[in-house]
Order: sequence, then C-alpha cells, then structure tokens
Amino acid sequence: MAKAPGRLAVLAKNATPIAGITSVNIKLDATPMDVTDFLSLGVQTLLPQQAKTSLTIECEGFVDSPVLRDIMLNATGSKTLTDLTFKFADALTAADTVSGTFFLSSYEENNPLEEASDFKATFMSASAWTVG
Amino acid sequence: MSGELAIQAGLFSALSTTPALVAAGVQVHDSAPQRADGGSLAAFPYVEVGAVVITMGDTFERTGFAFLARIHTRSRSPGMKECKVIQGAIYDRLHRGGLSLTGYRLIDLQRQMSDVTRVQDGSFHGVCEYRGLIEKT
Repeated sequence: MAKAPGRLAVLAKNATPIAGITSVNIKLDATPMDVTDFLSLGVQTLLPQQAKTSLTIECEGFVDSPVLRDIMLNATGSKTLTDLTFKFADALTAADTVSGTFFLSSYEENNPLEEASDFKATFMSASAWTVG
Repeated sequence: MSGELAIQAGLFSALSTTPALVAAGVQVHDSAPQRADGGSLAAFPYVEVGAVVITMGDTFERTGFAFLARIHTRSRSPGMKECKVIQGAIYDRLHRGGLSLTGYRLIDLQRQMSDVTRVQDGSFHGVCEYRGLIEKT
C-alpha cells in the first residue's frame, strides 16, 4: 500500500463533500465480552465474540456551510444522517469507502478574532455500516 | 493569477483610489523607483504595497492563503504626523475592509501593527502589517 496525502480523504453527505474540512479522522472500536472470573487467576479473559463495535468519524475545518449547524440547532429534529460516506485517502479499491447511518453527536463552532470561523463535528455509527 | 500578485494588485487598487490618499497626493508603488545611489526617485510622501508574505490556507476541497502584507509609508515632512495621517487613511480603507481580487475571495483583512521610525536621512518610515485570508474562487 502506498502512502497517501490526508487531503485525499473525502467525507461526504449526500455525495457532496462537506465543505471547509482541514482534517478528518475515523476510529473503529470493538468492545469485548469480559468473562474474567475467580478461575481466571487474575488474568483477563475475553470471549472471541465482540459485545459491540462502533465507528466514529470526527472532522474539523473552516465553516463554509450551515448544513451541520442547522441539523444540530434543530433541538427536536433527528440527528441521524443516512447519507454519510467516508472515503479513505488511499482509496485504491472499493473497500476503502465506508457508508451508513450515523448520529451527529457533537458540533462545535469557534469564532476567533483574527481567524476564519471553524468547526468540529463528531459522527457515531447508528447501525451496521457498509464497506465498499 | 498567483495569490501574492492578486493580493498586491488588490491592495494597489484599493489604496490608489482611497479618496484621502488621492487628496493628499500620496503615490502608491509596488516598490518605489530608486536613484543609482539608492535614494528615492519617487515623490514624497508615498506608499509601497509590494511586500506580501503568504502561507498555505487550504481546506480539503479548496486552496487558499493566509497572508501578511507589509505596507511602507515614506514621508519627508518635519515630523511623524504626515506618516501617521497616511497610515490612518490606509487603516480606514483596509482594516476589516474589502479587496477586489482576481481569482480569489477575501475572507478577512485586519491590521496587526503600525510603527513609524526616523531614517538616517531625516525622513520618516512607517510600517503597517495587515493580515488576511483568501480562498480561490
């Protein structure tokens, strides 16, 4: 696998790249089933099956569109996005694209005096995701 | 057009048409013409806008720059007042103001500092630094 510049990664909503992004990261977590007991003699014991897996995508950049802000400002509206797609920077095969239903769990805007307004957003997987 | 040239052209155009500077007869130069001995051929007072330092300001899908424009003011009046009046007129025009840029959009422009010093030949040299952000259209 060849090294690739991070800027080639693409986080898109409804097939349109989210504007203004300067950094995006993706994190996969797997929570094991811990069956450690007295007979384990103090050694952690995990089942081969996972209790839970999750995928988190975080992005940040300059505010160039109010789409995510509007979703978050709608206090009673759904925070679930069914059209989010992440493409890895080294997308060499179809398996380098992840899509699915995500929950917009946090959104933050910063307005410094001498810089452009910037934002951070976090998306958590809300169901099984699709690869490819 | 390159980013640095677009910024310089935008600054030149803005200051060349600033009524207070035009009324005071202030000439705007990229870099003022010099005599063979290093002295200035330009009529005083004048302003130079050519010194622009740019750094990358890209996002994933768009290119842009952060820049620092150093605007020099030269005066041969007996005191610092003329230099400071010119710097004030430049501030009124540029600080949080707009620029017409070919191929780029100005996001922000603010003055960072202003200073006036006396030069060995008795003239005054003012320096103002303006920081801005632009993105390619």
